[in-house]
This record gives sequence, C-alpha cells and structure tokens, in this order.
Amino acid sequence: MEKFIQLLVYGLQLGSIYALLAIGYTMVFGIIRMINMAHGDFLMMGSYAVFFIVSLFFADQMLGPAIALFVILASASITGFIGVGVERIAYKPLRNRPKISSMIAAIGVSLFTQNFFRAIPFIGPNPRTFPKLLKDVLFFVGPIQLSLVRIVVIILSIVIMSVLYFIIMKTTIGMEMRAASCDKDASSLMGVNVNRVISATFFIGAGLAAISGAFYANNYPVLTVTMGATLGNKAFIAAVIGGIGDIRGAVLGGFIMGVIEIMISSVYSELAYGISFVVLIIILLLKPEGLLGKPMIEKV
Amino acid sequence: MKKFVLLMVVLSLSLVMGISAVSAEKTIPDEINLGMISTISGSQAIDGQNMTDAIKLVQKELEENGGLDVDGKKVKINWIIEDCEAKPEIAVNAAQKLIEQDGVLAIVGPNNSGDTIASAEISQAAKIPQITNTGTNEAVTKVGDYVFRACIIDPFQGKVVAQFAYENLGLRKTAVIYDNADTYSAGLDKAFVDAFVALGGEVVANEAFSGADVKDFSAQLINIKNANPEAVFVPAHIDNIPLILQQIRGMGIEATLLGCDSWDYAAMPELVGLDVIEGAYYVTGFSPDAETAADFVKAFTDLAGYRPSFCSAMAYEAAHIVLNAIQNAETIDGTGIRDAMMKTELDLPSGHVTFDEFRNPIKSGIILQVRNGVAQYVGSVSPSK
Repeated sequence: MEKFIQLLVYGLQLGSIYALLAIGYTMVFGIIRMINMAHGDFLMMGSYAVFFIVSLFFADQMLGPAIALFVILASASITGFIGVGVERIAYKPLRNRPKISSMIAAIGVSLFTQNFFRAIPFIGPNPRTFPKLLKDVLFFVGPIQLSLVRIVVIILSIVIMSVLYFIIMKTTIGMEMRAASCDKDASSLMGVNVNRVISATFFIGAGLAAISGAFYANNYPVLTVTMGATLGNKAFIAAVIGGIGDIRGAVLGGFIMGVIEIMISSVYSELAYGISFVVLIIILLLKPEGLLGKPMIEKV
Repeated sequence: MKKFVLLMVVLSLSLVMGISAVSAEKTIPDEINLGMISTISGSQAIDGQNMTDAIKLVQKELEENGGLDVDGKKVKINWIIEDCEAKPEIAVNAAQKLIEQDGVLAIVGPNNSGDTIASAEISQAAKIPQITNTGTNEAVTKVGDYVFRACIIDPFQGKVVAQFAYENLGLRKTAVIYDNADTYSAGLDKAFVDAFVALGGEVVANEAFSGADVKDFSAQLINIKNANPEAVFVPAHIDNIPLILQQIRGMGIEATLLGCDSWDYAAMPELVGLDVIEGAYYVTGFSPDAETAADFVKAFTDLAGYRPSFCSAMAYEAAHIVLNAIQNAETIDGTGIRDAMMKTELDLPSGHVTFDEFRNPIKSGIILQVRNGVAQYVGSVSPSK
C-alpha cells in the first residue's frame, strides 16, 4: 500500500508535466480545430529561452522564486511571440485549405525548428545542463517521499487550468475565442477580429508550452533540440484521452498517462511503454470522444 | 578506319594494363578513399564530434608525412565522413553510399553496436573491412569475417566491472538499471549479472527502461531503493546517464555508482553534477593518464581543444589499424586489407593491440574513479576466464 501511494505520487508528478503541455495542445485545437504537431517544439524553445536568459544575466547565481518566476514569464512571452509568428508564416496561408494541409505544415514546422536550432552554433547538437531555477526540497509524509518542486508543478497545472478556463469562459477575448471556434465566418460578420483571436490563442498556447518546458527542464535538467518530440506526442495523446478541446480533460488525461506509465514500469519495466499505450487504446475504445469530450456532430 | 583506330587503342590499352598488372605484384594506387560512419547529429552527437576530431588528427599526421608510405610510395588518403544519426537504417545507407559511390576500401565506425551490426552486413557482403571504434556488443564481429572492433567487448567490460565490484570493492549486493531497447546496454547488463552471480554475489534488482525517450526513472529506482543494494551499475548512454544518476541521488539511494565506457567524457562530471558523480567508478578501454597515451593526448588536445575521450581514442586507433594494414597488405583491396588487419601488431595509445580469431582486440580493462570532478586512473583489471 505504501508503495502504491508512493508510485501514485511519482505518477502524478510525471503526469503534471504532460498535463501542462496538453493544456496548450487542447486549447489550440479547441479554438481553431487544428492539431499543432509543433507544440512540443515550443516547449523546447521555452526551455532554451530560460537557459539563455539565466546564463546571460544570472550566471552562477541561485535564483530566488521571484526572479525564477520573472525568467519563466519572460521566456514564455518570447516563445509566445514566436508562436504567433509561426502561425502567421506557416499556418495562416493554409487556413481555408483542408485540415490535413495545416497538420502537415505543423509537422514541417516541427522538423524545421529542431534542425534549425541544431544548426545554430551556440545551441548545437550537444546536450546542455539546465540551470537549477528552484532548489528542490525532499521531505517525507510518513513513509512517502515528496518533492517540493514537483508538488509546485502539480498545483501549477491545476491553477493554470483554472485561469485558462476563466479566460475562455468569462472574458471578452474568451468569448471571441469560443465564437471563432463555433464559426469563423459568422463571428467575423459579428465584428470579431478572427486574426487577433487566433494570434492570441497561439500566444497563450506557445507561452504555456514554454512554461511547461521550464518546469520540465527543472526536473529533468538535460536540454536537447529533440526533447519536445516525444513529449509532444505524449501530451497529444493525453489531450485525446481527456477529450481534445476540453481543458479539464487535458489535465485529467495528463495525470492518467503519468500514473499508468509509472505503475506499469514498476510492475514490469521490460514492456512498460507498450502496455501503457494498450491501456490508453482501451480507454479510447470504450469512450472514443475521450473521457470528458462531447461527441461531435459533423456539420453538413 | 575510325573503328579500326578505336579497336587498336582499346587493344593497346588493355595490353598495357595487363602488363602492369603482371609486372608489379602489388598495385599501389595514388589515392585511397576510406570511410567513417558516426553519429554526427542526433542524440549522440558528442560521439560524432569526438570521432571527427580523431580523424582530423589522423589526417593531419598523414599530411605532415606527405601521405601514407606504402612500400616507399606516398599514397594520398581521403577520409569520407557519413552521419548515421544513431539509427541503424541510416547507418546502412551510409555504408552503401561509402562502398558503392565513394569506393572506400575500409570503414571506421559507427560508434554504436546496433548501427555497426546493421551496416556491417553491407560491408561484409561487399568484402570491405569495417572496424567499429566503440561497438562493444559481442554480436558485432559475429556478422562476418570482415568486421573488427578497436575496443574491448561488452562481456569483457561486464566481467571487469563485476570482478572489480566483488573483489576490489568487496561488494556482495548490487542492482542494475539498463535500457532494454539498446543492444549495448542490454548486453552489458547480461554480462555483468552473469559474472557477478558466478563470482558469488547477488543482483538484488535488475530494472529495465525502454529507449532514450524515457526521462523519468522513479518507478524503476523505487524498486532498486527497496532492494537496498550496495552499488548500482548504470550501463546507459550519455543522453540518459545524467538524469538516471541525478534521480538515483535525488531519491536518496546512497549506493556506490558503477559505470561503463559510455560514461567516459571529460564533460561528464559537469553534465551530471559534481556532487552526484563524485566517487563513482567506471571501466573503460582507455585512460588519457596512461603513459602510452601521452603523445596522442597532447596532439589531440592541441588540435581539438579538449582531451580525448574513449570514443575518440578508439576512432584514432581504428584508423591506425586500417592504415597499418594498408601498408602491410599483399594486395590493396578489401580482402588484402582484412588479412593484414588480422595480423595487426601495433603499439597504440591504449597499449599493445593484437586481434583474436574473432576479430576482437586483446587488451585489459581500465578502472577510473571520479575524484574532485575528474576521472582518475585506479588500475587495470584482466578478468580470469
């Protein structure tokens, strides 16, 4: 039982990273109905942005929580603007083409950014050590070992989920986002600036990816240009499990992914990866629209 | 008339070529192309950098001598370097390109066992000798009689670590965490477990993870922690070693850390964290502190700006084994070079090298320990069979 609870904690810790990334994935899909395969690469850019800001301005210093927060927000906005730029250059020209075109454009963006970053001399192919933003404190609750930073990440993913839910449900831009997701043309006739809404969506999405990148790299402090690829896939799966388009579903899906992965690794590590995906396929077979997703009606 | 002239030209040409082939026993070409396959990009790009710099050093030495001296004739050597991205399918393409397009007479690399096994099928079929620098898995040279290696092999390394842990450190309970998607890692795990159990020790936990994409090892490490071993052996690759070691210490496992030749990078202590890796032992086939390596270490450091790793040292040795074989070959073609490689008797940076009948080098394993952030020479171990 002790071991079960300990594994559950580890699973939630790992899942919180998937959840943070899946929120951005699902938000972009929910609003412009596009699967942004390059979302994981925004995570990579975000963590490199943190790396460079810290090594340029705060080299060899232990950052306090205030500076760490500032650095993370700064790199989130840098990545956010890159996200807006990517949408303008690569996705906007394809907006009225079939859905598959923009998905392929996104795969192209993903491969391009990875190789472009590798080709930049000061990034290069070698792994980098990520600076410790926050000092981790390990403590015990009974026999269960907990990590302070991981708990912060778990709480943060729930806080971000709530803030985003609030933005989408209660603010004007959120209302415009929902309108645009229903019908772009009609909302444009109603005076909604669709371009601005989509830019805002990408800004928030890429910024969230950067924030999850900062926390991911703080826990697993090795930076490579390909770090976003597998993570992006897992976050995408988490978003689908939870019901893509639903922000609460993304968080739930992320936690489920993490817990399943850890639990099965512990019992039989040889086949853990394979079996955890079998479990996810079973979930999708039983509930094809995802755990919190609503069945979509195809408009004719 | 035109046809007649053409015929005469062709006839006389073939006559000249025929005569030259008969008169000289050994045709020495003006230029020889040699290939190298390495992980220039991808998750193990550090190895690619190390190997490229090693080949640059070999090339520099050749240029200083005006080429390779073969029976008094200076032969120009061209090195053609191909990237395999640490993917076997790309390594196969690279070998095909080198052999068919560039006409190389021998291939150095790739650095990974899996990539070497895949690409060696091509060179074996084309009868072109291939020598991997750090492909330590036992199966590599079993591909065929044209496949060599410059380094000690996985079972040998595993035995060295097991014997060192059991006899020199006096440990009786160990654990292993390894990558079951990787031939090198799984091979070392098996060799270590077999040897340690045979010596009378107990492997209390043997945990796998699948592939370089795994970044969280808490599920495996909690099993290791609960088994309470005296040492943990981590036969992983450079992209996972820092995370595994950090998480081992982060979880409060205080056991001695044991490693293998994939740990051997000058930057490793920094990448992992000095407090984490301090006191860890690992085995390798090469130590820059050994006397025999002094000249090579100086030349390499001057050229590349950093000290040579195991990977670069073995690439350098592999290249020299090939060049030496070209000098001694009876005929300058794949088969001639292969036969000469079998008879290698060379003093190289890691010591004297000869080959056994399975084309594995005969050397001893070197144990290093990280002290104050620097890997230091502890001793050599030759496991009893």
